[in-house]
Amino acid sequence: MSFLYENLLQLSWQQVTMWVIGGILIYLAIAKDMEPSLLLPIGFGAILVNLPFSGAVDQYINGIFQEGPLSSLYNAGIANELFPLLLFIGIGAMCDFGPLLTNPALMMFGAAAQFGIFFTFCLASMFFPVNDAASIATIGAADGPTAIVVAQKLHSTYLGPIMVAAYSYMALVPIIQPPVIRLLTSKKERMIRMDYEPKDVSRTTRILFPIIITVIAGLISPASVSLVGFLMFGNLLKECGVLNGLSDTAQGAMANMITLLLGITVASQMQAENFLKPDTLMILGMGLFAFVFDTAGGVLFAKFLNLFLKKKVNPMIGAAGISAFPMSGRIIHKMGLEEDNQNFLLMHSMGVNVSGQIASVIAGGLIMSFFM
Amino acid sequence: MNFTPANFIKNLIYILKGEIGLFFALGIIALSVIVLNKVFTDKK
Repeated sequence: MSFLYENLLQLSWQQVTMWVIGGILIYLAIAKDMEPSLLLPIGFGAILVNLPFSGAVDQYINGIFQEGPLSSLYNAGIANELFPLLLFIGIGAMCDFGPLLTNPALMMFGAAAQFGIFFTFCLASMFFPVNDAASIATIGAADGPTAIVVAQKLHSTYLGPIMVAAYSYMALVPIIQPPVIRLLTSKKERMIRMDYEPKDVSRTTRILFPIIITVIAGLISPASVSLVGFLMFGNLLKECGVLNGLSDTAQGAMANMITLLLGITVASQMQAENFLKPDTLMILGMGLFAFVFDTAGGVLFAKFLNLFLKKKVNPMIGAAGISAFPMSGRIIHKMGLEEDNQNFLLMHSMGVNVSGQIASVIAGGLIMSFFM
Repeated sequence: MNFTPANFIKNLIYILKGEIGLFFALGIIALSVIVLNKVFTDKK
C-alpha cells in the first residue's frame, strides 16, 4: 500500500510554499477580482507543477525523461514568443485609439511614463548581468507580452519570475498607483478639470494610423517591429471596417484562448527549485520599483508641463501612461471622480493609456536594440 | 548575484538614451497624426 503515500513523502516545504503562493494568486483572482483571467491560471498552475514528480512538466523519473504538457506548451508558445505576439493582435483589436487621435499631444505622457523601465535597469544592473537587468526592468512596461519577448530575446535566466511579476503587478495596478499619485500631487492638482472636445476622426486616419506607427517604430527601433506590428495589425483589423468577423475573433475568442494558455504555461516556470530563490524576491522588488517610478515619471512630467501651460492638465493623467490598458486609465478616472464628482477624466486618461501601450512596446524595442 | 554599485552610474546614460528615443519616436507619431487629421478630416 506504500504507493498511496510514497509521493507524499517526497513533498518538500518549498513545494508547499509554492502551493501557498498559488493559493494567494487564486484568492486575489476570485475574491479581489484582480486580473482573474491571468492570476487564476497562474495560481492553479503553480500548484499543479509543484506536486512531487508532477506529470504536467518535463521530469526525469528514475533516469527516464518524461515529457510534460505544460513544458511542451511553453516550448511551442512562449520560448518562441508566439503566444505573447498573438495576444498582441487581440489587444490591438481591443484598443480604441480615438481619444489619442483627437489629441495626439497625449503621446508624450506615454513616453514620460516609461521612465521607470530605464531607471530600474540602472538599479538592477547593480545586482544582475546586463541582459537580466534589462529584462527585469521591462516588467515596468506593465505589459506582459513585451516583458516575455524582451526576456526571451535577451536570453534572461529569470523568465519565470519576470513573467509572474509582470502579470501580478499588472493586476495590482489599482493598489500600486493611487498612493504614488497622492504622494506626488496636491488635492488642488487632483481636482483640475480638463475639458474634452470630441472631434471627428476620419476613417482614413484611423486606417493609416496603425500602418504609420508600424513603419515609424520599425525604422527607429527595428527590434520592436514584431511587437508593434502585431499590435497594430490587430488594430487595423478593427479599424478597416471590412473584417469585423476577424476583429471580433481576435479580441474575443483568440485573445481568450491565448490568455488561457499563457497563464497556465507561465506557471510551468514556477517550480519551487527555480522560483524560491533570493533572486526572485529581488526581481519582484525591482518590478515594483519599475511600476512606482513609471507612475512617478508620468505624474511629474505632467506637473512639469503645467509650469508652462496656460490651460493646466490634471497631473494624474500622466500616470496612465504606464500602459496596463485599460486598468490604469480607469483608475485615474475613478480617482478624479473621488476628488470631484463632476471631474470626468476618462477620455484623457484613456488617450494617455493607449499611448502608454504604444510607448511600452517601443521602450521594449529600444531595450532590445541597446542590449542584443 | 554580485553587488556592483558602479554599474548604476555607468548605466545612467540609458535613461537619457531611452527617453530621447521614446520622445523622438512618439513625437514623430504625434506629428504624423496631426498631419493625418489636417489632411483627411475635411475630406470625410
